[in-house]
Amino acid sequence: MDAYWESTIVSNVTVKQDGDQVEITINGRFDFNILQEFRNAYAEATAPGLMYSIDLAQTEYIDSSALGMLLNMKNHLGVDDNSITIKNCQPNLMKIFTIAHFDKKFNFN
Amino acid sequence: MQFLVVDDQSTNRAILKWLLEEDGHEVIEAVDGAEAVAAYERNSECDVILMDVMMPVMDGIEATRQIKNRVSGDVYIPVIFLTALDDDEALSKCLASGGDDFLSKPYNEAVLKAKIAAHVRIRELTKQLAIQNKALTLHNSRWQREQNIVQHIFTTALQHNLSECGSLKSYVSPASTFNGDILLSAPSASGGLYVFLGDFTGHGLGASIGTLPIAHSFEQLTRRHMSVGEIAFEFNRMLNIMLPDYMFCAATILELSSKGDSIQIWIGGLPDGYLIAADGSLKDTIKSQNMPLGIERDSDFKKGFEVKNLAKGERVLFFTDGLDEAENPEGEFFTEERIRDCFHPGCENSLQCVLSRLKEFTQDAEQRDDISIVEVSSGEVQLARQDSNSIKPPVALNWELHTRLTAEEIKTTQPVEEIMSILGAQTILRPNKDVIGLLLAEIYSNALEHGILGLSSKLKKSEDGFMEYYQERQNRLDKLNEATIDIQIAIMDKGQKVLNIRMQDSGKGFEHSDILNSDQDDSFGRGITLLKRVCSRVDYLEGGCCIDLDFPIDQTAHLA
Repeated sequence: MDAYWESTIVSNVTVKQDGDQVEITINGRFDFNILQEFRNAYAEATAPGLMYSIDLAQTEYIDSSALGMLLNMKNHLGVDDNSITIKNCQPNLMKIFTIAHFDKKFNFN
Repeated sequence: MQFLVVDDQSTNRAILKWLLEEDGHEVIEAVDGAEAVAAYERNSECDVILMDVMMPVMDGIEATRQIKNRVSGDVYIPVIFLTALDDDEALSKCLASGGDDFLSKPYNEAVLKAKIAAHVRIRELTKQLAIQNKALTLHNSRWQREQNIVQHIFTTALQHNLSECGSLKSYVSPASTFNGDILLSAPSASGGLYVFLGDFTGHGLGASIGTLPIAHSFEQLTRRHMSVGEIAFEFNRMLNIMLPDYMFCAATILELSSKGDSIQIWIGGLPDGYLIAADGSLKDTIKSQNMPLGIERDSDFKKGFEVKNLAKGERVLFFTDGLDEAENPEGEFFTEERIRDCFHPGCENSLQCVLSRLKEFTQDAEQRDDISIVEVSSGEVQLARQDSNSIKPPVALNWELHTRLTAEEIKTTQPVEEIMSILGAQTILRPNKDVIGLLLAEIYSNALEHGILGLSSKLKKSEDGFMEYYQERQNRLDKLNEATIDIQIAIMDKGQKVLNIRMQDSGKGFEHSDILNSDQDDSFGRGITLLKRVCSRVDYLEGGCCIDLDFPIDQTAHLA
């Protein structure tokens, strides 16, 4: 059967800074349950000129609260459109970003 | 032991009889060759024949020839000539007739006994050998029969492959009758192509066994249009249960889009795949990111996969390690380096280039492992008629599902996940199950958060409010005593097939118009905007307590 929806996924957020590159990795479900963790991840690294990337390779699910959280991040950091890159986005999640027109608000690779 | 003593002189017979009976043997007597042959026919179980040469009626030489002719199969009946003759010619005649030994008269008793003992030992050995041979023959024919059955099963099981498809070229060469490599292909529901290449630990029958369930479920999974990552997950789970710990399956699973302009690829433990440019040169290397199938536990398994775009003329080549580890007569490996050297500008048929280099390299060295090479080319996928017929979507039934959640259930269960595990299993919903999941999650959180818990999404305008909103959500949820959410889901015909979702909550309703008109850059209200974008109809009824929407099922193209 469809294990994707059946599995109880333990989500977590990890952050790693290397020079001016900040990488946030999200494991499991990207929704309001990791709100605090996600906010801590970028709130800790706010020096000007930093480049942020959000690695979704291990992310299995996003919902609209995740979209809100991404916008919050952008507003909080006050950075321009090119400073945040979403990478390794799986096709199923990309579909959701596209429907939300997020493909025009963030960099994807 | 039973002895046949043949002599025309009764004294001679008597002496031998006495000698042998003294040792506990049984003796049958014959007075000439003809009687000896008749006695043997009556007693073919007799163990040793002691034969005089010169006798009336039939001599010992002729009698021996006739008896030896009557001996069947591997049985050894020693004939020892006891003769007064001692010229070479006579003795060699004795042997030519089939005799096994001779002793000149007058004979020494000890020598006679020694000769008898030696021949009896040989007879015992050949008897045992005959028994073992018989068992071996039986075993061999049983094994042959079983091998035929198994071979038949494998051939039938692997017939599920596409009959003909221009996008797919392959070379499959097992090292023995049974192949531990497996290559499968199937059409996808959207008109694309699935390819599975697997390599089980070892080779031969043991390695082959695992290919059977894989072949069977590949067909089922591709019919359900699962992603390559999900197929990998299912195979991993199945092999984990089935195979002993030391066995697993390195594999590559690929889906080519119907236009042939992109691939989704999952590699677990197989050598790197190569993306070849239109001119034949190496453009990109696709590395294995995963463990082979049958090792990882479900909870550790990553369903992620790579997506590569394919321009016109580009192709992807992947293979099992039988190729890079193919040996030449000196025992050197073919290596990935030599494979990469095959990809040079001007080489139009990469698979053919690799094959001719391989042949040149290995010469006639023995092939030690199964070798499989697959090339998938860009360009629209053209399927043979019988294959494209097989993917016609089944006619879907119209059905309904209804559940009423109580306050307790709202607090303790995951209704969206549960419902999605049912919906996600429906073939016609599968291609859009992520969007449907999002849809359901959105309207469920609206019903719960705004309808029942009475939270205002305006709180989410600021970043701190966003936090506060979700803290408040938890507080109010903990205190919730009485509430219901009714969820009704139906597949309906409304000119086209739609998934109709109606959700009603016991709350006071909310000002949905605020949300519907919210700004694009606000961090709230996004959910409903999403609904509007993918649904053909969204209606709020009963002051916002009830939402009723239609999601057109067949909107793959629109969403892609």
